[in-house]
Amino acid sequence: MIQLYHLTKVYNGRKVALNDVSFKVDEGEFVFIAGPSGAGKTTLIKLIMCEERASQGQILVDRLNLQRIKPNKIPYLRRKIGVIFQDFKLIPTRTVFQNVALRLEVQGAKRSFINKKVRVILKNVGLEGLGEALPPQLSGGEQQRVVIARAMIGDPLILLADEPTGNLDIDLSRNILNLLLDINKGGTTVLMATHNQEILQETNKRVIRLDQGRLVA
Amino acid sequence: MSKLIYFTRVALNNTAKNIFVSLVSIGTLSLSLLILSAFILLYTNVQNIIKSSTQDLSISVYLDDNISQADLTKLKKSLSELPQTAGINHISKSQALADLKSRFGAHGALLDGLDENPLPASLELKLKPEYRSQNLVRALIKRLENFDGVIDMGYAWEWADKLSGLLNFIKLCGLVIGGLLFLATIFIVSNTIKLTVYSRREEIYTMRLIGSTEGFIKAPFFIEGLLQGLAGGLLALIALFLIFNLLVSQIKFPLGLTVINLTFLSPTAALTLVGSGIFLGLLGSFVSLRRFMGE
Repeated sequence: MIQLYHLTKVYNGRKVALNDVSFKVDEGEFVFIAGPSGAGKTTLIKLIMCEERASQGQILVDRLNLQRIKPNKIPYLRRKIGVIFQDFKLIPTRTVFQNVALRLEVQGAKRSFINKKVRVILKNVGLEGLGEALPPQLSGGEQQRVVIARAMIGDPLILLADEPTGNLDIDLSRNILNLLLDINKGGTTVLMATHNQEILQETNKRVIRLDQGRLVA
Repeated sequence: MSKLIYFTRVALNNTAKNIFVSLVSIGTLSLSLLILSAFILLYTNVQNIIKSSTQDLSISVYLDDNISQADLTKLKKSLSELPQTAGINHISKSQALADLKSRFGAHGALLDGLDENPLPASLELKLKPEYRSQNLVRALIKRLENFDGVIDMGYAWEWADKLSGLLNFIKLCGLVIGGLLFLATIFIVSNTIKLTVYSRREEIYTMRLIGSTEGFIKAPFFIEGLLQGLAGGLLALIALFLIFNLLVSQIKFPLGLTVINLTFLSPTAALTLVGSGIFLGLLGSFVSLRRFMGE
């Protein structure tokens, strides 16, 4: 599903964020990207969703070569990928419902379909009854769930999670992890970046370790 | 269709959120269009006046009171032999006075106090259509001056000539002021749209990341510009109509000029005015999105 070949990303011609990284993630797999902050985890996620382009190497997502993808095809790539952003990227002036619905709206889905789908997904992530709340009124854990709901509502092939348990205590973190494991059981390929050792020990899923932009294990 | 409703809703939301800026934008747009269309209205009316006054093209050849019958007959013959002449009409002194009285209408009695008729008799020389250009008429008048028994000449274009100068001046002013306003309006509309883009920049960024196409993001801004242009154009049209009617009801024409018929913009011109508003609004959006929303 995701293939990286000698991937390198250099910022401003000086700062090397990723250095010759190669690995594969199969369809339906759950993989952790582990490493301290600054290891290149977020850069890797940005490259996979084509928010940035690699300096060298090749990257294939669902057989699509991202080094050659045309700008007008990027939106369609992103519709296959759900992303849980480290900083949430929720729109504070829109309600929880509207934030989640936005992903289907930009794809041109019908209103009745959107309404039904959003209600179901909010229930699945445990946010029933909070649809009319604004993101700033919610706790960190609740906001994280809104982001997960938004990432999952388009039934993406791939879910990229960038430190989804970053600011949460261990109980809430387990909670979120279990949610992602459930999503993975449904067939979605999940790539979860984390620096949390406790979370890594919770499961026996594959771990790809990065340090200073290099693959270490 | 559902997409269009969605885009319009987003556009209206954007307008409502920046209501003050939007109103300033609409106001500027309509003011620019109002000034521009006022020039066009003035121009077309002056043009109409000139056209209607030169339609019935004749040259009045005023005659010496002491002209002999023989000279008059000779003059008539020479004039009728000119290739330019379509017809000749003799207006006697008493006929001239009666014409003037009827033009004065209710004030005609004023002329009854005259001891003697001061008006000269004249020959009204009707011109063939192909000789109605101003230069040809001027050349003809030069020739007529040399005829015996002719004391003066008058033609409707004397003041039409002066109005033509005014017409050119109006055109120049309209073009210069219109051009400047045009640029200023695009600048202001594009800045209004820029403010909306700016206030929604994080939302726009997020929309891109979750799979929104550029068209989907930009469409509401174009609709916002279009709606502002439409509102500005309609406002300008309404304002122009009200001002025009107010002025027409206030203007008192001097004696004898009541025949001038002032007209408002034609339906096509009115539509063009509103269309220009829409065009300006869209252009403003386009400029703004090009400058502030490059990927």
